[in-house]
Amino acid sequence: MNVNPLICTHCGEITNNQSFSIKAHIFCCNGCKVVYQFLSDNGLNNYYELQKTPGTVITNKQENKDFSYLDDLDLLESIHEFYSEKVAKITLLIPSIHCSSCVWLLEKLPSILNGVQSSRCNLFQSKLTINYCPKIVDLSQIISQIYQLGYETELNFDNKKTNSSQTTDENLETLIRLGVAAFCLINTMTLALPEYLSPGEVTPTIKKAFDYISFILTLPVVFFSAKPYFNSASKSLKFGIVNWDVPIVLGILSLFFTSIYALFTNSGQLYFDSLCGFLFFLLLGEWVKKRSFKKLNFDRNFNSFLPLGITIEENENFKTIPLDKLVKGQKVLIRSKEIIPCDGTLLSNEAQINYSFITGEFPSVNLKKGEDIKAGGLVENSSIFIQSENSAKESYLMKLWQELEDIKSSDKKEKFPFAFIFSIIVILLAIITFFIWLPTSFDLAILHMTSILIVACPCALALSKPYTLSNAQRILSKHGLFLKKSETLEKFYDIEHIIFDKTGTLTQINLGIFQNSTLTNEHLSLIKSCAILSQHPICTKIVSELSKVSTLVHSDFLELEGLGITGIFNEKTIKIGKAKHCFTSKQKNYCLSKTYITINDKIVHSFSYFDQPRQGVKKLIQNLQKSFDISLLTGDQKKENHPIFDIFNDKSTLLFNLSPEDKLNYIKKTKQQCLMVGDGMNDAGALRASTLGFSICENLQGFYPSCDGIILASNITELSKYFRYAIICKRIVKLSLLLSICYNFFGLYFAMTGKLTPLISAVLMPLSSLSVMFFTWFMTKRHAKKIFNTEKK
Amino acid sequence: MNIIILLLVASLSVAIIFLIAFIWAVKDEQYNDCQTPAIRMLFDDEKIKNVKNNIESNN
Repeated sequence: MNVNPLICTHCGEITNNQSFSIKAHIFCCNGCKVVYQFLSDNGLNNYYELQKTPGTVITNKQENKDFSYLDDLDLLESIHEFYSEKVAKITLLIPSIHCSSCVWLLEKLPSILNGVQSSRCNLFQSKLTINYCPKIVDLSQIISQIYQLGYETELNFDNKKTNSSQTTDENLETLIRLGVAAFCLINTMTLALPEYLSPGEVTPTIKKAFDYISFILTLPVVFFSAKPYFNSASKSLKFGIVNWDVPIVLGILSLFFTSIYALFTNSGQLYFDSLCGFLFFLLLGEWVKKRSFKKLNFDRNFNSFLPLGITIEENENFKTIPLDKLVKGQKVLIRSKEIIPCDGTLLSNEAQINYSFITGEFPSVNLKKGEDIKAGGLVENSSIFIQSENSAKESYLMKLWQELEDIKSSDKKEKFPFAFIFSIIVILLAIITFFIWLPTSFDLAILHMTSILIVACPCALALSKPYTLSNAQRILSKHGLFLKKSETLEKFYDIEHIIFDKTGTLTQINLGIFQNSTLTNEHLSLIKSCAILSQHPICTKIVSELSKVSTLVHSDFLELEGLGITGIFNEKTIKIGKAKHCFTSKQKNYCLSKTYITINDKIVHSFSYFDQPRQGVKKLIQNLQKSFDISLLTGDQKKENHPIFDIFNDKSTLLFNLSPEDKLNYIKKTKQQCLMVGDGMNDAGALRASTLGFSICENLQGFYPSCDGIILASNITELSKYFRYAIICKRIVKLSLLLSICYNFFGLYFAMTGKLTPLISAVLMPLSSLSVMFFTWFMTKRHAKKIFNTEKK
Repeated sequence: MNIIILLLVASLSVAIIFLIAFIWAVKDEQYNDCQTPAIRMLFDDEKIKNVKNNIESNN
């Protein structure tokens, strides 16, 4: 039976079916075949030459999918970057763009479709930017053409906002500020060098000219590149908080004004080059930090999961309309595997709705005609009709979400006492120096006071913390934890209580009973024939999974309530049930929560009806229990025998049957600082309300609610390592602060005794910044190696 | 030696042209995607004139 596996020419799926083949090419399904035919008819075979099996599988492919709702004018204007009658520009998110063939094909769009002027792919972000003429071709035509080519466009309610792409603008701005600072730094440095290398030998006219040019070069740095720091500092002062930007701004201003004073009075030292260098290093850190996370979207909300268009029935006609236009009392068609966008009542006779998205409750609910349906449910089995009760914006879920919006913004007061103390000390020292030198001469007193402000200028100090944290952030992202902001790392130290969600977080959602099994068709048909005779839910599930397998006639069958079933077919005995039922002798290593299948007393397959804990979770929980309180909150019903009970012991709190609001309230009530780890919409509230909220996702394109950080599902077991690393990072910050304080003491000593020569300050400032940067880079890297790598071996 | 000032101004103005070019490139979003252009330049420019005609006749 098993010949060499045949591979689909289009998508690379292994298939046994030869019915969809053209000449020597074999396809797994009609969809792949149609795409291939279309491409070869149009001389686009190059698609298959650039990469082998470049296509992607569209699950659930519908023939003639209706995109006509996209022709609604209001909607068109809201999702386009630019829209007029003659030209339009739109950026589409097509998650399945993955290789050079995709780029090639999608960029050929202008030659496939009349009216498309240009199409540009961004492989990294999986985006396609299209310029087209709406007079000749409609957006719906373009999207359905792309769909015909085998690419599904992600059209979300959310498209409206994301199209403005604020984050990229911000990144570009930082890059420009950085570029300007770099330009000015290099030029002022060149001009300052002669004076450092051979002081006094440069003729006064030339020196004067150099100084003025440096001054002009510094202006854009102070007024353009440093602008974000000025804004942030003035904002924080308005709220009566001293953040790190305050000493930075203090340093910038004192450097700038003393240098100007020195320039116009021909006295003292100019610090234009140091000023440019300082800002360059600061901005460099900022840019590196922003660069690494372009692809992630941390602020997804419920909108992101709703479709843009829905199908309604009006006077026996089906019509697809934009979700915006949905009003109360309409008859809405929701297809299998679609999310219900509004509350309503069921019009079809029966529906199977999975609310795991909202409640975390894993098994789906069966509803009868006339029963209420809540927004956010996923329709399983067949398509259904519902009568809408409100618009999508007024649904229960949206209201819940809106209530959450202001929770976190209210308690966002962060104080940095260290920055505050530091600024106070520096100012006090400057005043003291002023009075010490006042009896000698007023000019000298002013000079020494400002030089204190300069030397104590917190270059190194201000750099040490952001550099350490953003380095750590980058390293953590390599190990599966993606933090929204590097400052989030600091919150790790306060955590006393860790709260987990169950399904999808600690446990893996049940993929299917026969996923990863190596059973032959003969065995499968035996299993199905046996299971079909029983009404038990597990058996029903087996039968539904093996819908394509043929059945045999039984010669004997026995069902033992609560244990399992036994069937005899063709002189083979099949047992499906608990370990007690299947094993005659005392077999070792069996699991109570698992269901076993044996054929002639030999185990052929075992599976769990429940979701299974992820690998290594037990060890993780044991580790964490040593230092934290642990809770488990879940929307699931409490079930005996669930494997999750093996993991937790009496010390932790286990709460079942919680709604999203219950989870949120639990976190609000705990006085401790909590870390919430969850997934899905049902945890969204809890994730926002907790001190730190991490969401788990299987892959980065998958869905995750708004949170402080994202952990890749495969890396959940490293959570305790993240904690250890965060604590070490705090130590590194302290050490680098100590290092830069040493520099400051040197500088202060020279400044207070009036011995601050130009050379000392010129060397001291860049050296201190650079050495602190190097120190933090080295330390974060070394400790990451220690923590993450050694334990893997 | 004062000629050095003139040279300095000249070299600076050349440098400023490059700075402007850099800012232009950034604003033109050339740095947004550093991956796709590298792939795109490897494609052969073969003509696919027939495509449009084919589709029109298909429809």
